[in-house]
Amino acid sequence: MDTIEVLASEIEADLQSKYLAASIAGSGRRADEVLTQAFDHQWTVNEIYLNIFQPTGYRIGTLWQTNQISVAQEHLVTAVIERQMGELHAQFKPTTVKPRTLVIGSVDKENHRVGARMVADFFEQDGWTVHYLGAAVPTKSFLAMAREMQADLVGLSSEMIFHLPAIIEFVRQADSFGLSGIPIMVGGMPFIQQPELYSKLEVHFSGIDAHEAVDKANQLFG
Amino acid sequence: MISIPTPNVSAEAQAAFKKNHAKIIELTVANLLAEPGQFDHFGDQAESTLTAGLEFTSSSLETCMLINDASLLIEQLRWAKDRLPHDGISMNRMTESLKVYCDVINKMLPAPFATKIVGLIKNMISAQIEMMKT
Repeated sequence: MDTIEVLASEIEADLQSKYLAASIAGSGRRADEVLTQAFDHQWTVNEIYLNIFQPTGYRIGTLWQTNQISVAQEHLVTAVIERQMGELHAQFKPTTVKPRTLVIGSVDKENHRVGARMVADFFEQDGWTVHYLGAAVPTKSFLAMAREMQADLVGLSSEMIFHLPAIIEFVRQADSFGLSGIPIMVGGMPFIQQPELYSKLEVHFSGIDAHEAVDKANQLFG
Repeated sequence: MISIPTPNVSAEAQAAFKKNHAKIIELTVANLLAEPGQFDHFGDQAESTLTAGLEFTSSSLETCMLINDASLLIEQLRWAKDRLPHDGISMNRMTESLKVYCDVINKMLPAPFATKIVGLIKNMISAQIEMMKT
Protein backbone atom coordinates (compact mmCIF):
# COMPACT_ATOMS: atom_id res chain seq x y z
CA MET A 1 0.00 0.00 0.00
CA ASP A 2 1.23 3.48 -0.75
CA THR A 3 0.98 6.37 1.69
CA ILE A 4 -2.41 7.55 0.48
CA GLU A 5 -3.88 4.06 0.76
CA VAL A 6 -2.49 3.65 4.27
CA LEU A 7 -4.00 6.98 5.27
CA ALA A 8 -7.35 6.09 3.72
CA SER A 9 -7.32 2.77 5.53
CA GLU A 10 -6.58 4.51 8.85
CA ILE A 11 -9.38 7.00 8.27
CA GLU A 12 -11.78 4.17 7.48
CA ALA A 13 -10.82 2.25 10.63
CA ASP A 14 -11.10 5.42 12.72
CA LEU A 15 -14.56 6.27 11.38
CA GLN A 16 -15.77 2.69 11.84
CA SER A 17 -14.53 2.64 15.40
CA LYS A 18 -16.10 6.00 16.27
CA TYR A 19 -19.36 5.02 14.61
CA LEU A 20 -19.57 1.72 16.48
CA ALA A 21 -18.86 3.40 19.82
CA ALA A 22 -21.40 6.17 19.20
CA SER A 23 -24.18 3.88 18.08
CA ILE A 24 -23.65 1.32 20.84
CA ALA A 25 -23.80 4.19 23.31
CA GLY A 26 -27.10 5.12 21.73
CA SER A 27 -25.90 8.51 20.59
CA GLY A 28 -27.47 9.04 17.22
CA ARG A 29 -26.10 12.59 17.19
CA ARG A 30 -22.52 11.37 17.61
CA ALA A 31 -23.15 8.79 14.90
CA ASP A 32 -24.39 11.66 12.70
CA GLU A 33 -21.13 13.51 13.35
CA VAL A 34 -19.17 10.48 12.14
CA LEU A 35 -21.08 10.58 8.86
CA THR A 36 -20.37 14.31 8.58
CA GLN A 37 -16.66 13.51 9.00
CA ALA A 38 -16.94 10.84 6.32
CA PHE A 39 -18.49 13.35 3.91
CA ASP A 40 -15.72 15.80 4.85
CA HIS A 41 -13.28 13.12 3.63
CA GLN A 42 -15.20 13.09 0.32
CA TRP A 43 -16.80 9.71 0.93
CA THR A 44 -19.80 8.97 -1.23
CA VAL A 45 -23.06 7.76 0.26
CA ASN A 46 -22.24 4.35 -1.23
CA GLU A 47 -18.97 4.26 0.69
CA ILE A 48 -20.78 5.11 3.89
CA TYR A 49 -23.10 2.17 3.34
CA LEU A 50 -20.30 -0.25 2.46
CA ASN A 51 -17.57 0.98 4.81
CA ILE A 52 -19.57 2.03 7.86
CA PHE A 53 -23.08 0.56 7.92
CA GLN A 54 -22.27 -2.93 6.65
CA PRO A 55 -19.21 -3.61 8.83
CA THR A 56 -20.99 -2.11 11.83
CA GLY A 57 -23.95 -4.39 11.26
CA TYR A 58 -21.76 -7.48 11.18
CA ARG A 59 -19.67 -6.28 14.12
CA ILE A 60 -22.67 -5.83 16.40
CA GLY A 61 -23.83 -9.32 15.46
CA THR A 62 -20.49 -10.69 16.64
CA LEU A 63 -20.53 -8.56 19.78
CA TRP A 64 -23.97 -9.91 20.70
CA GLN A 65 -22.92 -13.45 19.86
CA THR A 66 -20.04 -13.18 22.32
CA ASN A 67 -22.24 -11.44 24.90
CA GLN A 68 -20.36 -8.14 24.77
CA ILE A 69 -23.54 -6.21 24.03
CA SER A 70 -27.19 -6.90 24.80
CA VAL A 71 -29.99 -7.57 22.34
CA ALA A 72 -31.31 -4.10 23.16
CA GLN A 73 -27.97 -2.53 22.21
CA GLU A 74 -27.93 -4.51 18.96
CA HIS A 75 -31.38 -3.16 18.16
CA LEU A 76 -30.29 0.34 19.17
CA VAL A 77 -27.42 0.30 16.67
CA THR A 78 -29.70 -1.08 13.96
CA ALA A 79 -32.22 1.67 14.66
CA VAL A 80 -29.53 4.34 14.28
CA ILE A 81 -28.37 2.81 10.99
CA GLU A 82 -31.90 2.54 9.62
CA ARG A 83 -32.73 6.12 10.61
CA GLN A 84 -29.61 7.37 8.84
CA MET A 85 -30.32 5.22 5.79
CA GLY A 86 -33.71 6.90 5.57
CA GLU A 87 -32.08 10.30 5.74
CA LEU A 88 -29.44 9.42 3.14
CA HIS A 89 -31.90 7.80 0.77
CA ALA A 90 -32.45 11.05 -1.16
CA GLN A 91 -28.79 10.94 -2.15
CA PHE A 92 -29.29 7.68 -4.03
CA LYS A 93 -30.49 9.57 -7.08
CA PRO A 94 -30.59 7.45 -10.21
CA THR A 95 -28.43 8.72 -13.02
CA THR A 96 -30.47 6.78 -15.56
CA VAL A 97 -33.75 4.91 -15.76
CA LYS A 98 -33.65 1.21 -16.55
CA PRO A 99 -36.69 -0.77 -17.65
CA ARG A 100 -36.08 -3.25 -14.83
CA THR A 101 -37.95 -3.99 -11.63
CA LEU A 102 -36.53 -5.53 -8.46
CA VAL A 103 -38.65 -6.91 -5.64
CA ILE A 104 -36.51 -7.49 -2.58
CA GLY A 105 -36.91 -8.40 1.08
CA SER A 106 -35.91 -10.81 3.80
CA VAL A 107 -37.27 -14.34 3.64
CA ASP A 108 -39.98 -15.72 5.86
CA LYS A 109 -39.12 -15.44 9.60
CA GLU A 110 -35.84 -13.61 8.88
CA ASN A 111 -35.93 -10.44 10.97
CA HIS A 112 -32.65 -8.95 9.76
CA ARG A 113 -33.44 -6.45 7.05
CA VAL A 114 -30.71 -3.81 6.84
CA GLY A 115 -28.76 -5.73 4.20
CA ALA A 116 -31.75 -6.04 1.88
CA ARG A 117 -32.50 -2.34 2.31
CA MET A 118 -28.93 -1.41 1.42
CA VAL A 119 -29.13 -3.47 -1.74
CA ALA A 120 -32.50 -1.88 -2.57
CA ASP A 121 -31.00 1.62 -2.37
CA PHE A 122 -28.07 0.70 -4.63
CA PHE A 123 -30.45 -0.70 -7.25
CA GLU A 124 -32.57 2.45 -7.10
CA GLN A 125 -29.46 4.51 -7.71
CA ASP A 126 -28.68 2.28 -10.68
CA GLY A 127 -32.00 3.20 -12.26
CA TRP A 128 -34.09 0.18 -11.35
CA THR A 129 -37.63 0.37 -10.06
CA VAL A 130 -37.36 -1.15 -6.61
CA HIS A 131 -39.98 -2.54 -4.27
CA TYR A 132 -38.39 -3.17 -0.87
CA LEU A 133 -40.60 -5.38 1.30
CA GLY A 134 -38.69 -5.33 4.60
CA ALA A 135 -38.21 -8.23 7.00
CA ALA A 136 -39.79 -11.67 7.42
CA VAL A 137 -41.93 -11.68 4.29
CA PRO A 138 -44.12 -14.81 4.08
CA THR A 139 -43.13 -16.79 0.99
CA LYS A 140 -46.50 -16.81 -0.77
CA SER A 141 -47.05 -13.12 -0.15
CA PHE A 142 -43.55 -12.37 -1.43
CA LEU A 143 -44.19 -14.37 -4.60
CA ALA A 144 -47.56 -12.70 -5.13
CA MET A 145 -45.93 -9.27 -4.85
CA ALA A 146 -43.19 -10.25 -7.31
CA ARG A 147 -45.86 -11.32 -9.78
CA GLU A 148 -48.00 -8.23 -9.21
CA MET A 149 -45.06 -5.88 -9.68
CA GLN A 150 -43.88 -7.83 -12.73
CA ALA A 151 -40.45 -8.24 -11.22
CA ASP A 152 -37.51 -8.89 -13.51
CA LEU A 153 -35.39 -9.87 -10.53
CA VAL A 154 -36.15 -11.02 -6.99
CA GLY A 155 -33.78 -10.40 -4.08
CA LEU A 156 -33.94 -12.68 -1.03
CA SER A 157 -32.00 -11.98 2.13
CA SER A 158 -31.17 -14.57 4.81
CA GLU A 159 -28.65 -13.82 7.53
CA MET A 160 -29.08 -17.13 9.37
CA ILE A 161 -28.64 -20.60 7.90
CA PHE A 162 -31.80 -21.86 9.53
CA HIS A 163 -33.76 -19.51 7.27
CA LEU A 164 -32.27 -20.92 4.07
CA PRO A 165 -35.12 -23.46 3.64
CA ALA A 166 -37.34 -20.44 2.95
CA ILE A 167 -35.22 -19.67 -0.12
CA ILE A 168 -35.59 -23.23 -1.34
CA GLU A 169 -39.33 -23.03 -0.71
CA PHE A 170 -39.49 -19.77 -2.67
CA VAL A 171 -37.78 -21.37 -5.66
CA ARG A 172 -40.06 -24.41 -5.47
CA GLN A 173 -43.22 -22.32 -5.37
CA ALA A 174 -42.21 -19.83 -8.08
CA ASP A 175 -43.73 -21.97 -10.83
CA SER A 176 -47.17 -21.98 -9.25
CA PHE A 177 -47.11 -18.17 -9.19
CA GLY A 178 -46.27 -17.97 -12.88
CA LEU A 179 -42.70 -16.98 -12.09
CA SER A 180 -40.95 -19.98 -13.53
CA GLY A 181 -37.28 -19.24 -14.10
CA ILE A 182 -37.41 -15.72 -12.71
CA PRO A 183 -33.88 -14.57 -11.82
CA ILE A 184 -33.30 -14.69 -8.07
CA MET A 185 -30.36 -13.18 -6.20
CA VAL A 186 -29.61 -13.96 -2.58
CA GLY A 187 -27.55 -12.32 0.11
CA GLY A 188 -26.62 -12.50 3.76
CA MET A 189 -23.92 -13.97 5.97
CA PRO A 190 -24.18 -17.61 4.75
CA PHE A 191 -23.40 -16.40 1.21
CA ILE A 192 -20.41 -14.41 2.38
CA GLN A 193 -19.09 -17.45 4.26
CA GLN A 194 -19.73 -19.70 1.24
CA PRO A 195 -19.71 -17.75 -2.03
CA GLU A 196 -20.81 -20.78 -4.08
CA LEU A 197 -23.74 -21.62 -1.82
CA TYR A 198 -26.22 -19.86 -4.08
CA SER A 199 -25.79 -22.49 -6.81
CA LYS A 200 -26.85 -25.26 -4.42
CA LEU A 201 -30.07 -23.37 -3.75
CA GLU A 202 -30.78 -23.15 -7.49
CA VAL A 203 -30.82 -19.36 -7.57
CA HIS A 204 -28.92 -17.19 -10.02
CA PHE A 205 -26.30 -15.37 -7.97
CA SER A 206 -25.29 -13.91 -4.64
CA GLY A 207 -23.33 -10.80 -3.78
CA ILE A 208 -21.08 -10.05 -0.85
CA ASP A 209 -22.38 -6.51 -0.75
CA ALA A 210 -24.80 -4.14 -2.47
CA HIS A 211 -22.25 -2.99 -5.02
CA GLU A 212 -21.48 -6.53 -6.16
CA ALA A 213 -25.20 -7.36 -6.28
CA VAL A 214 -25.85 -4.51 -8.72
CA ASP A 215 -22.81 -5.46 -10.84
CA LYS A 216 -23.90 -9.08 -11.10
CA ALA A 217 -27.49 -8.14 -11.90
CA ASN A 218 -26.29 -5.90 -14.72
CA GLN A 219 -24.07 -8.70 -16.04
CA LEU A 220 -27.06 -11.03 -15.99
CA PHE A 221 -29.31 -8.61 -17.84
CA GLY A 222 -26.62 -7.31 -20.15
CA MET B 1 -9.63 -28.84 10.49
CA ILE B 2 -13.08 -29.74 11.76
CA SER B 3 -15.47 -31.05 9.12
CA ILE B 4 -18.75 -32.93 8.80
CA PRO B 5 -19.20 -35.57 6.08
CA THR B 6 -21.72 -35.07 3.28
CA PRO B 7 -25.17 -36.08 4.61
CA ASN B 8 -26.48 -38.07 1.60
CA VAL B 9 -30.01 -38.25 3.03
CA SER B 10 -32.68 -39.39 0.58
CA ALA B 11 -35.54 -37.12 -0.46
CA GLU B 12 -37.96 -39.55 1.19
CA ALA B 13 -36.12 -39.38 4.50
CA GLN B 14 -35.99 -35.59 4.30
CA ALA B 15 -39.72 -35.47 3.61
CA ALA B 16 -40.43 -37.71 6.60
CA PHE B 17 -38.22 -35.52 8.80
CA LYS B 18 -39.94 -32.35 7.62
CA LYS B 19 -43.41 -33.81 8.02
CA ASN B 20 -42.71 -34.93 11.58
CA HIS B 21 -40.38 -32.21 12.76
CA ALA B 22 -42.96 -30.43 14.93
CA LYS B 23 -43.82 -33.66 16.74
CA ILE B 24 -40.15 -34.59 17.06
CA ILE B 25 -39.39 -31.23 18.65
CA GLU B 26 -42.41 -31.39 20.93
CA LEU B 27 -41.46 -34.84 22.23
CA THR B 28 -37.78 -33.91 22.56
CA VAL B 29 -38.68 -30.85 24.61
CA ALA B 30 -41.01 -32.94 26.79
CA ASN B 31 -38.25 -35.49 27.40
CA LEU B 32 -35.71 -32.77 28.17
CA LEU B 33 -38.04 -31.06 30.63
CA ALA B 34 -38.63 -34.40 32.33
CA GLU B 35 -34.98 -34.39 33.41
CA PRO B 36 -35.11 -32.92 36.90
CA GLY B 37 -33.33 -29.63 37.48
CA GLN B 38 -31.65 -29.34 34.07
CA PHE B 39 -33.57 -26.33 32.83
CA ASP B 40 -34.98 -24.80 36.01
CA HIS B 41 -32.98 -21.63 35.41
CA PHE B 42 -35.22 -20.85 32.42
CA GLY B 43 -38.29 -20.71 34.66
CA ASP B 44 -41.54 -20.51 32.71
CA GLN B 45 -39.56 -19.82 29.52
CA ALA B 46 -37.98 -23.29 29.49
CA GLU B 47 -40.39 -24.87 27.01
CA SER B 48 -40.35 -21.96 24.55
CA THR B 49 -36.56 -21.57 24.79
CA LEU B 50 -35.88 -25.25 24.12
CA THR B 51 -38.46 -25.33 21.33
CA ALA B 52 -36.89 -22.30 19.61
CA GLY B 53 -33.42 -23.84 19.88
CA LEU B 54 -34.58 -27.11 18.38
CA GLU B 55 -36.47 -25.28 15.64
CA PHE B 56 -33.20 -23.60 14.64
CA THR B 57 -31.36 -26.92 14.80
CA SER B 58 -34.04 -28.67 12.77
CA SER B 59 -34.05 -25.98 10.06
CA SER B 60 -30.26 -25.97 9.88
CA LEU B 61 -30.23 -29.76 9.44
CA GLU B 62 -32.98 -29.48 6.83
CA THR B 63 -30.88 -26.97 4.89
CA CYS B 64 -27.81 -29.19 4.95
CA MET B 65 -29.80 -32.22 3.82
CA LEU B 66 -31.44 -30.26 1.02
CA ILE B 67 -28.15 -29.01 -0.40
CA ASN B 68 -26.30 -32.18 0.61
CA ASP B 69 -23.56 -30.21 2.29
CA ALA B 70 -23.03 -30.14 6.03
CA SER B 71 -20.23 -27.60 6.08
CA LEU B 72 -22.70 -24.86 6.99
CA LEU B 73 -23.21 -26.61 10.32
CA ILE B 74 -19.63 -25.81 11.29
CA GLU B 75 -20.39 -22.09 11.30
CA GLN B 76 -23.58 -22.79 13.21
CA LEU B 77 -21.64 -24.77 15.82
CA ARG B 78 -19.13 -21.93 16.17
CA TRP B 79 -22.03 -19.56 16.68
CA ALA B 80 -23.53 -21.88 19.29
CA LYS B 81 -20.20 -22.26 21.07
CA ASP B 82 -19.93 -18.48 21.38
CA ARG B 83 -23.52 -17.73 22.18
CA LEU B 84 -25.32 -20.53 24.01
CA PRO B 85 -23.27 -20.48 27.25
CA HIS B 86 -24.47 -16.88 27.68
CA ASP B 87 -28.04 -18.08 27.22
CA GLY B 88 -27.68 -20.63 30.00
CA ILE B 89 -26.90 -23.67 27.85
CA SER B 90 -23.44 -25.18 28.14
CA MET B 91 -21.95 -27.03 25.20
CA ASN B 92 -22.09 -30.26 27.22
CA ARG B 93 -25.78 -29.66 27.84
CA MET B 94 -26.31 -29.02 24.15
CA THR B 95 -24.57 -32.29 23.29
CA GLU B 96 -26.76 -34.19 25.73
CA SER B 97 -29.88 -32.49 24.34
CA LEU B 98 -28.93 -33.51 20.81
CA LYS B 99 -28.65 -37.11 21.98
CA VAL B 100 -32.22 -36.92 23.31
CA TYR B 101 -33.24 -35.42 19.95
CA CYS B 102 -31.63 -38.41 18.20
CA ASP B 103 -33.49 -40.85 20.45
CA VAL B 104 -36.81 -39.24 19.51
CA ILE B 105 -35.97 -39.31 15.79
CA ASN B 106 -35.12 -43.00 16.10
CA LYS B 107 -38.50 -43.63 17.69
CA MET B 108 -40.59 -41.54 15.33
CA LEU B 109 -39.15 -42.18 11.88
CA PRO B 110 -38.80 -45.46 9.98
CA ALA B 111 -35.42 -47.01 10.74
CA PRO B 112 -33.74 -46.44 7.34
CA PHE B 113 -34.68 -42.75 7.42
CA ALA B 114 -33.82 -42.27 11.08
CA THR B 115 -30.44 -43.95 10.68
CA LYS B 116 -29.31 -41.48 8.01
CA ILE B 117 -30.58 -38.39 9.83
CA VAL B 118 -29.27 -39.48 13.22
CA GLY B 119 -25.96 -40.24 11.50
CA LEU B 120 -25.77 -36.61 10.38
CA ILE B 121 -26.60 -35.35 13.87
CA LYS B 122 -24.01 -37.66 15.41
CA ASN B 123 -21.43 -36.32 12.99
CA MET B 124 -22.46 -32.85 14.09
CA ILE B 125 -22.05 -33.85 17.73
CA SER B 126 -18.57 -35.21 16.97
CA ALA B 127 -17.65 -31.92 15.31
CA GLN B 128 -19.00 -30.09 18.32
CA ILE B 129 -16.91 -32.18 20.70
CA GLU B 130 -13.83 -31.49 18.57
CA MET B 131 -14.65 -27.79 18.66
CA MET B 132 -14.96 -27.86 22.44
CA LYS B 133 -11.34 -29.06 22.66
CA THR B 134 -10.06 -25.99 20.81
